[in-house]
Amino acid sequence: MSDQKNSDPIQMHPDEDSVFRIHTAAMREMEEPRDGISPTPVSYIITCFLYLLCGGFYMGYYGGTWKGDGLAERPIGGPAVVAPPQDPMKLGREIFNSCMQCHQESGLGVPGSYPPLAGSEYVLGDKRRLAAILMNGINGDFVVKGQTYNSKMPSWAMLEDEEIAAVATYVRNTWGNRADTMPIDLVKSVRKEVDGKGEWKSATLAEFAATAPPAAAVPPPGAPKK
Amino acid sequence: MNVVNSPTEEIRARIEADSSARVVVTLYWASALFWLTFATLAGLISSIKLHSPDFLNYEWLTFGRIRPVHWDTAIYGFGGLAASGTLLWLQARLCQVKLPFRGPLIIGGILYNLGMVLGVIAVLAGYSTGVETLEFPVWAMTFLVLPFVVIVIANFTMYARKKTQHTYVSQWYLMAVTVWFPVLVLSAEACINFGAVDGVAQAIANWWYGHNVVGLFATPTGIAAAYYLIPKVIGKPIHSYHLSLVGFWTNAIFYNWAGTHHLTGGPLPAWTITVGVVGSMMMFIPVITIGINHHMTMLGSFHLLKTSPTLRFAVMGSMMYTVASFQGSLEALRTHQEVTHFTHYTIGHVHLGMYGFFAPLMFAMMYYAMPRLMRQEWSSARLIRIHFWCTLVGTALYGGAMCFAGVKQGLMMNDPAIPFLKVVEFTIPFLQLRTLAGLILLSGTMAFLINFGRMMARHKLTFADPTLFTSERNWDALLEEEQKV
Repeated sequence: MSDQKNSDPIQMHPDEDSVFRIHTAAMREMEEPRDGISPTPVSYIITCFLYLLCGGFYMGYYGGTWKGDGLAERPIGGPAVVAPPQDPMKLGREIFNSCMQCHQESGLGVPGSYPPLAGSEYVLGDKRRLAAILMNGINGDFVVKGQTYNSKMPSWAMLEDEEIAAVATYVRNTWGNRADTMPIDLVKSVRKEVDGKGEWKSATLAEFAATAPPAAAVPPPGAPKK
Repeated sequence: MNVVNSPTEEIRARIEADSSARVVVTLYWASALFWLTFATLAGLISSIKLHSPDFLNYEWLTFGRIRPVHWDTAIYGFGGLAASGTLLWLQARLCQVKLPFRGPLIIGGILYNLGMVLGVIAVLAGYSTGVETLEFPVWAMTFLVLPFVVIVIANFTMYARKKTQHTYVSQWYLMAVTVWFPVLVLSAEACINFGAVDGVAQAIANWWYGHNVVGLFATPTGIAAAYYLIPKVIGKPIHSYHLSLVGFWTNAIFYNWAGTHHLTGGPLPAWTITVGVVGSMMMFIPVITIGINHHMTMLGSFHLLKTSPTLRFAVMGSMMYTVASFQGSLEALRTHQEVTHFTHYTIGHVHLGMYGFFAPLMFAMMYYAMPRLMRQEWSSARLIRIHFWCTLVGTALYGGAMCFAGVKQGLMMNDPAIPFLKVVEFTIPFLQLRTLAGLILLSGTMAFLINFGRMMARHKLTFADPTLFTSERNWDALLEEEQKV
């Protein structure tokens, strides 16, 4: 840097001795590297090709559909995988998170506003009626355990049959309640039955409960064992 | 063609090449060392923050800003400039011509450094693009890309003027780099920061670039340096020209496909990841081939490692190339990633590659070429020893601690029974070890800086013998000899 004038030393110093004295490093170094020609073992080349074949196999095997939306590395086929049925008490507990705002974690509801589920004749009684309530909701005066409540329960028809059955089973077997499980088939048939009937009133619900279920006889409600 | 045959002619050609490259290459390498120190400091700050979060708690130095600065200064500042200097000097030497376009190359080097400064300030001030490895805003990146135009032209001009008949293997890599790197940067910028593609395709472009900037820029330059230095120092030809061919072309074919393995488990079409996995696994072919070629060349000359600093750094880099590449290939496998993805393992791997393989080869290059460019020997053998052992121990400690912690961390994270905080607590001692490793690496860099600075500061001194590990030469002896001359 400091002596850019010297950038061409051979012209600066016609005297070869002085040139080479300041370039001892360049003088003493080995000649520029060359390529040797040791042969490559044939076995090495063959191994490389076999290895390439493995790569090709992997690429074909895990390539998915080779399309932009093929997110699975193996094409999906064979028998459909059936998810094992869930424990209704566990699933019901999860669903119940949505019910807790009104009925409370204690299942006792809010006196004067929201009816209790613990010991409630609607919970422990007719399962078909319970499913119908969950499906369409309730609006207006309603008597539970001798107390009159005037509030609105929304419809939960957007839940799956399995989920409604699970939450019904859960409330029928918590806070000291003991009753048999809600069959998923019953929920399924009730869903068809109550379709289009709208929110229940005290009277319309009683009327519905009094009519016999359309087809397959549903076993009588299990007696509450308190 | 004017073919250089006689030894005297070859020596004259060497001297011409060295003298012409002097200012340019010294400028590139000196700034590379500046950015290496800067990157190491930034890395150290990031590392300390991970186990002591309140350290340097300023807006400009938050982890999200200082870590990108660490990586960008390491890869563009140190990597880019060290590799460019290497490229220019090696090509001039191997073509036995003078370095052309010295003025534009010097301006390019200054522009490049300016771009680095602007980019670092932009990222620290919060103007990062947020895209890994391309954090610098486009206007700062422009300063980094423009000098490459000159470098590419200079490289091809030298090749066109070459006075040798044979094209040596290092030259293949150097020519390839000057084709690959501009294509890489321009396509990645077009895809990501200019928005030529959207969404998932941007992520693919990002990692294609992020992986290739290491694999098709740093790696080929490193390999070119190893292919030059090992036979040069030991004075034997490279083992096999055929293996060189296999290594070069398989590297060129497969590396480009490997980038998507960074996105394994992500919402990408399965085939893109599968191609990335296969590309990475196929890298075993060039890595083993190049490894055999270097090892067979070295065979019978390992005793020279005792004395030659250049050879010792070059062999360390060459061996770590095999180790880090094996690790990297295996890391691409889906089953491997289930454990190590998103852990410290990846960080350990990057450092084994960059500081175990690439950096030592660049150091070897500087240890070899600087005495020829500056026409004087290194002032202290002890400082070279310190530099070497700090580089080796620091890298081993860093890679060991991070890779071990990463595997354990991944296994713990895969166990749903272990709370996340427990995993974080487990890694803390290893993060502290990493800070220690960073300090060791910084000490090594300091030793090199002192040696380098003395060489820049002194007037020319000539010795009949080089500075070897076994030399008694130190600063005082140098001053004494200077008075004698």
